[in-house]
Amino acid sequence: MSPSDRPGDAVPADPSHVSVRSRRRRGGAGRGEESMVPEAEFRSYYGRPVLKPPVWEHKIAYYMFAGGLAAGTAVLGAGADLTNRPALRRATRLGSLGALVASIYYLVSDLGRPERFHHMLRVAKPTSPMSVGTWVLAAFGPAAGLAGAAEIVPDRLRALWPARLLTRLARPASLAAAATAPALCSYTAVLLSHTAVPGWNEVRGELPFVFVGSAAASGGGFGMIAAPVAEAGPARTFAAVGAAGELLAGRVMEHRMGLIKEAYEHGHVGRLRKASEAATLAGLLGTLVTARRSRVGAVASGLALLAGSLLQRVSVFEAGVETTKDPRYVVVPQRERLAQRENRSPAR
Amino acid sequence: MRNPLYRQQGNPTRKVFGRKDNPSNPAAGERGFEVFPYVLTTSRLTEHHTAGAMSRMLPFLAELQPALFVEVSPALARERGLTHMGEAHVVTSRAAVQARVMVTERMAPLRLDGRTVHQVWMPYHWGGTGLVTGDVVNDLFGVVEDPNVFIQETKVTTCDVRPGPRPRGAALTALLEEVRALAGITAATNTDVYTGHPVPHLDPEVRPDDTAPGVPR
Amino acid sequence: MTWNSLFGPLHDVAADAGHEDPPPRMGFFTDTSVCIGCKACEVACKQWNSVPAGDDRTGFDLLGLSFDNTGALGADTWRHVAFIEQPAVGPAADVLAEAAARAEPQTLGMPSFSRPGDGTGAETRTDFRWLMSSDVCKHCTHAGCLDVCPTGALFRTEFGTVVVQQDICNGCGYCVSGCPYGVIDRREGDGRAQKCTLCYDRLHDGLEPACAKACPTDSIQFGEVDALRERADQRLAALHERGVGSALLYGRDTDDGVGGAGAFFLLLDEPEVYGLPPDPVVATRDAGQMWRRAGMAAAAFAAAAVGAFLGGRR
Repeated sequence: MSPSDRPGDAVPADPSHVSVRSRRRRGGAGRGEESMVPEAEFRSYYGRPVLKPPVWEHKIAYYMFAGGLAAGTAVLGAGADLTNRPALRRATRLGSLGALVASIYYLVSDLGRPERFHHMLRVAKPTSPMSVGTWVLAAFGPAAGLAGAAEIVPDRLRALWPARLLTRLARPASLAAAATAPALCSYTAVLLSHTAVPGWNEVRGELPFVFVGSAAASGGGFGMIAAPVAEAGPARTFAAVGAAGELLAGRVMEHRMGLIKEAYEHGHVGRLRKASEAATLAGLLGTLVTARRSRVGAVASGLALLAGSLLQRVSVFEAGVETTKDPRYVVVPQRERLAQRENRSPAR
Repeated sequence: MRNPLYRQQGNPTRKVFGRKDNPSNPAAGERGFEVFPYVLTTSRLTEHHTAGAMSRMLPFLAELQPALFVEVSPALARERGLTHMGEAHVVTSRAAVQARVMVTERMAPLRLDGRTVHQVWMPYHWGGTGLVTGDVVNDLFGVVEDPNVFIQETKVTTCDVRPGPRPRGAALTALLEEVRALAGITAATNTDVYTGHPVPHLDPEVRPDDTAPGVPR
Repeated sequence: MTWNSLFGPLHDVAADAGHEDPPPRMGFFTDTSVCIGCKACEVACKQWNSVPAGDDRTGFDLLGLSFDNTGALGADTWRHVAFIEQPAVGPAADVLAEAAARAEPQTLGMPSFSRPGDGTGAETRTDFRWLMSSDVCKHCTHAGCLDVCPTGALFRTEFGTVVVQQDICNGCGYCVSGCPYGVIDRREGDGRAQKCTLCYDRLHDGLEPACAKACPTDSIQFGEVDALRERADQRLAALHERGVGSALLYGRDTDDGVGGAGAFFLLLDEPEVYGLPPDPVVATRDAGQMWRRAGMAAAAFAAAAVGAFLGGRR
């Protein structure tokens, strides 16, 4: 609550007291029943935030999308290689390389001192998901890079020994990338949840499933766009399973939310989440119904899945940032937790 | 409110200088007293040092108290249409000083003699130089001195508080002339040192009905 | 490394971090009941550590939070004095209205040695109360910032404090989101994370931190954390005996969500009134659960990928 504009409003009387707010009803509007949760009254320091907002920009959300895409296309590339689907293999390996490059760009440029990005390699620290992710990327990156590079060697150079070596390394590299891909697309959920940000920490149980589903949907979607229908079967299956998982996990996540639900449902973030769900659902239906028959349908479905995945990451990112700006997301749940503990064992 | 113990109200040996260019606000009971209905007191903040010329130059101090403000009670703010952190100007017969409004319950209206008296407070550390600048609060006071070491009275006076920024340039002069005319300020205003013996203490060659510059008789 | 390295009471913080034979843990006990709001701590800290002051862009801003124009802790504020004005809430609060009703002068009361509101609990506070408190980095036993730092810039010193090494930090900003108190932040224009160092350089020479040195009322007490805790317990008991029921210790309990703080406080109202979280918990407490869930999700991802290729040849 910023200093009021109304005449006579003080440095608010007992300025730590903010007006009573009631919890909004969960579920749809118009159900007419009383809220079952008590009114959330809380105090704060002039309504100012308790936490600092994340210093990360949207680049981190784009990174999470790109990283998920890189992981999804990497596993498809390895599988395509092993099951003799050269068009799918080529498309997904290149997609994985492109997404990897984008990932690295977003990560490094979001640093306060980008020239010091290599300092991440000083330590390997299990309590830091970012450190874990650094090493996952350190393993995934060269592997996916090699596999992708093998696809872009020009024909006239293929006979040279470096190119032949590269071609021979391509499969093991692709397999290595696929082996690290699951870690790549799941650690980002821990990255967000392992913070004090209420909007991210509270959904720590469900967010990994949302993110891997999103990664699979985007990877499969890319495969459907870039590979002919005949070879894109596994991409369609992967995309459908991923999209369904993303939608289901997302619903479960929202159902279990407490106060942070308001940050996820209202305003700009709410619109992004609805758009994400709509796009992913459309992509899922398209994958099931048209992608098998028509390339146009496949491309449209793939684009929808990619859009849904991107919007998913951006909306989760923004929801978290939102929850750091209003002190009630910190104070109210913590006060309730304290009260519950006090009820169980009264104060000494 | 009258001091009930003495007939004499106020130090009878204080130095007053009745001059055209040294107007004072009217005393209680004098004509025009209601034009300045509020009590203004000034004192210090911890973060700045006296007139502030030195402390306003230091970044670590300037950021701790960056602007002149006037503390008013919620009741006065309602009465005068002042908003917290809005601009206001404090007016006496001598000057108008602009300050941000700090509405706080620490300023309590007093109930004296059957009526409500509002008080406001300002720190006096601001001036035109430094990292943070503001109006000079001591401009609001006339020159009345204590009889021992001749220190100017700069801590208590009456005033009016109005919302919004103060006028500048010619408009400021016009405002002050208007206020002085409204209160009928002359060179003799509030120069009666001996209560009950209305003898104005005037400088030589000053006539009792001389008004401040620009104010018509 | 035992489990309580990550959460729960931890007796020797510096040793657990790898220091051999470290000195006793040092910290702050900030007794806000004697703070006079002079902000000497803010100035001394900035002066000693060359922390930038505000400029036209950021800092010269009248915030209107009573006398607080700093706002909060941050990259450019490592000690922050908060001011909270609390009008009376007791039944005799509206003296003015009462006096008006009876057409009598208001009784301001004779000056006394106790401060208004001291003698009774918050609910019966009959007069205005002005709380002042100097906030600082808590140097938690289990520090959210330290746990998530991926470069090792944040480290645990031999004194048990938490410090950012400015030559290593690459400004990833993870610590900013890791802190449950909202203390550490990235400095604009500099790119690196900054926070109170508990004057690590002064500790090396046996000096007390700048803020503790400057504090005129000894509101900021510096010393060995064990001794400070004892002193705080005694001070709390004394205040309670005097009838200041609203006094409480914040960050003293080693069973709290961060394992107790190296810099803890005596407050006169609930923590959130001062802008502090009522029940902060270091995210690392749930690290096990988070990684297990991530592992399950990763396994599902891998299974889906394998299944996608096994599901028929087309």
